Formats: sequence, structure tokens, C-alpha cells
Amino acid sequence: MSSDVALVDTWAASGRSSWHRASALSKMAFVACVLFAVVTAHDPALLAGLAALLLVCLATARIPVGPALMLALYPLLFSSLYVLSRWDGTWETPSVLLLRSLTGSLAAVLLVSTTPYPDLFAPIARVTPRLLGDGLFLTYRAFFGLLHRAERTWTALRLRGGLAGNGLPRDLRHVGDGLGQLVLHSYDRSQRLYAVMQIRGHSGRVCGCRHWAHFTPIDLVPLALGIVVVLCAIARGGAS
Amino acid sequence: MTHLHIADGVLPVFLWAAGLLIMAGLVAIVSYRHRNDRADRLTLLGSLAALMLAAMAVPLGPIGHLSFAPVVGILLGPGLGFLAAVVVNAILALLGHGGITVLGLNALVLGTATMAAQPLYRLARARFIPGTAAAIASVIAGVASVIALWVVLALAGGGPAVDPVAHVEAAGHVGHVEGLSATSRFVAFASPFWALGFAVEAIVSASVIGFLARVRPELLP
Repeated sequence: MSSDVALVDTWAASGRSSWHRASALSKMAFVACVLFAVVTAHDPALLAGLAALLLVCLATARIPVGPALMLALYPLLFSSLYVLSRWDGTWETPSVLLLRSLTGSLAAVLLVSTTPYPDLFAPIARVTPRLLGDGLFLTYRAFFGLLHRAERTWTALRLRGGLAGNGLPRDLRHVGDGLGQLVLHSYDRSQRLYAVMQIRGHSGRVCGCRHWAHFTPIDLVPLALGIVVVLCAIARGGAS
Repeated sequence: MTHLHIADGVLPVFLWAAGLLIMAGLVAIVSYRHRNDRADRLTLLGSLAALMLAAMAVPLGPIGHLSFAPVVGILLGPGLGFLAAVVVNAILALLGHGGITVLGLNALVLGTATMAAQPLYRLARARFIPGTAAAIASVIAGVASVIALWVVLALAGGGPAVDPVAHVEAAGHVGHVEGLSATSRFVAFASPFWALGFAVEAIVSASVIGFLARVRPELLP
């Protein structure tokens, strides 16, 4: 999971495709349209088509389709368990539910892998309470600092025999001690960050960037695609 | 382990819409109650939510991972603990780990554990040492979280939400299965994973809180 976040962050920050240049707001509108179709569609063919469209979008955004697909497949495992427990004897129900899961996840992956996190969280922070909006920014930022620290801690634990298979409870206690050190690091880091924010004149909002709302002609692509998706969902919904 | 991780389009609309509304209400209440907090509470929320994300990378078998929710709940308290659950689930949803529309339900399920952990820890602390109290709080908070998940699934009612209006009928099968029996089947499938998850989470929580009690006891409630 940690490596997934790092991978997606790299894709979002280093990409130069049309999808990367489109504003966060237009891509969010596109994802909202896809989710509308996901929630309302009952036709496996439509959902499969939608998933294929999203894979094409990922390819045109020059996102490696294989790893992106693996990310999107993750919730299928859990959805499968749920679907299995409620199987009604038809093949349509599981296929629709699993395709819905896949399509929704692909849309989220497309959004997050083509949008740097300040642009992604800024519009969310505008409509949520300060604690939540800023919490998203600070969590995402803190995660990468913590990631390196966590990797060093796990390496040290392994090298010193902390995870040498001396019984699961003992290994887990060592994992707990490692996590305890990370908790201490998190406390110290949060105090340092607070001091830095005070020095820089923290005004109550962490991010004031407005790149997310810079509209260009390229925004017409996600917006037009979104409208097409909604129209298809309505048309197929009406037909079925 | 107690994470819902069910993606978009699987649960009925009324259910995830209600989840989003309840989550929004709780976020508003918590934000109002903590409106005068110093900014270092915000930075701590960010750091511990990030730690929760990092801890979720610790795998527990093929389909499970640590949640770290009880420890974060003990350290942050019910209000900020719930916000941490919302933040973590929002980031996970953006990565495709759980749907965007079911963010409210996922946050409520995980948030139940973070909200319950500190009050339970305080209760247990009256009789036990910090590590044992954390283990007890962790198990009970985990059970509360699973009950919240069970309620969500039971409310999902008569089977999957392929068509919220029509009943699917094919080859003599009535598409809607009984909601409670389907939920029981899901609980039966998932129970071994949950039991393993409770045990692991309890050992890790006891170890982390025991460690903090030894080296920085002032951080504990």
C-alpha cells in the first residue's frame, strides 16, 4: 500500500499528458459522471465499455496500465467476498457488481494519478471544515516522511532478528515496538511542523493554491467525455 | 481488518447516501468542538493519520492488514480519531482502495473503532497496566467496528444493489436473497479473518502503548 501511494504520486507529479494538464475540477467532474454511470447502470456491456474507456484514458495519460489496473483490482477481492455471500444464482448480478467495483476504482486511479495532490486536495479543502481539509494535506505530506522512516525501521528490525520467525506473538511485539518508535517520531514531527507553521505565519488554512481551477481548452476533453458517459448511462438505463 | 473496502456501486444508494450524510454531520460536530484547538493538534492529526496509512501496509495474510485504528483512537481521542478515520479512508478511496461513494460508510466503520478506543482504554486503565488496557480497548473497539459493519450489511437488506427497484428473476431463481441470511453468510466468511485481526491488533496495540508508557508516558491519556 505504501509503495502504491509513492507510485501514484510519481505518476501525478511527473506526467505531462493532456490529462495531467487538465484542471483538477474538470477531472473531478468526469469522475463524478463515471460514478453516476457506475451507480445507475445495470448493463454489464455498458460497464465493461466504461472500464475499457478508462483504461484507454489511462494509456493516453501515459500511466502504466498494468500497475494502474492492479491498483484498481484491489477492492475486487473484498467485493468478491460480499458478492459471493449474496449470490442469487445468476451470472449478471456478480458481473455487474464486480464491473461496478472495477470501474469506480479505475476512475479514482485515473484522477489521482494525473493530479498532483495540492491540486487534488485544494478544491476539497474549500468545501470541508478546516480540520478535515488541512488534515488531508498534512496527512499526505507526512506520509512520505514517515514512509522512509518506516522502511528504515523495518530494515533495522529484520537485520537485528526482530522478525526472524521466533513465534508470531514475539514478532508482532517487535512490530509494535517499531510502530511505537514511529508514533514518537510522528509526535516530534508534528511539533516541528507546528513550529514551522507559526514561524511562517500560519493563517488558519494550509493551502491557498488555485491551480485546480485554471481552465484551459484541454478541460473540454474530460468534461465532454463525462457528458457522453452520463448520456450513455441514461440511454442504456432507459433501454433496459 | 475491519475495513469495509467495498467499492462503488455495490451497496444501495440510500445506504451510502445516508453514510455520507452521517459522516458529514459527525465531521461538522467534531470540527465545531475542536474549532479553538491549537494548530499542533492538526499537525498531530496529520502525522497519526499518516502513520495509520503506513501501518496498513503491514500485511496480515493474503487479504488483511493492520488498521492501527485503536492506537490512533487512544492517542487522539474520539473526535480527532474520527477525523483521522475520515482522512485515511478519503486517501484510500482516491487510490481505488474502497469506493468514493461508500467513503461515509467506510469512515463510520473504521471511525467506530477510533471513537471507542480512548473511552474504553480509560475504563480499562483503572484496573490494568497500559499495555493490557490497550489490548482490551483494541479488541472491544474492533468488535464495535465489526458490529457497525454488520449493521451496514444488514441494512443493505435483500441482496446486492444491481437494481434498486426491480427484483431479478432468472431460471426459477428469485434474485433477492434474504438480507439477514446473506449478511450472516458474509459474517461467516469473514469471521476467521476478523478473529485473526482482533488478536494481531491487540498484540500490536499492547506493544505500542506499553512502549509509550515506558518512554513517554505523558503522551497517553
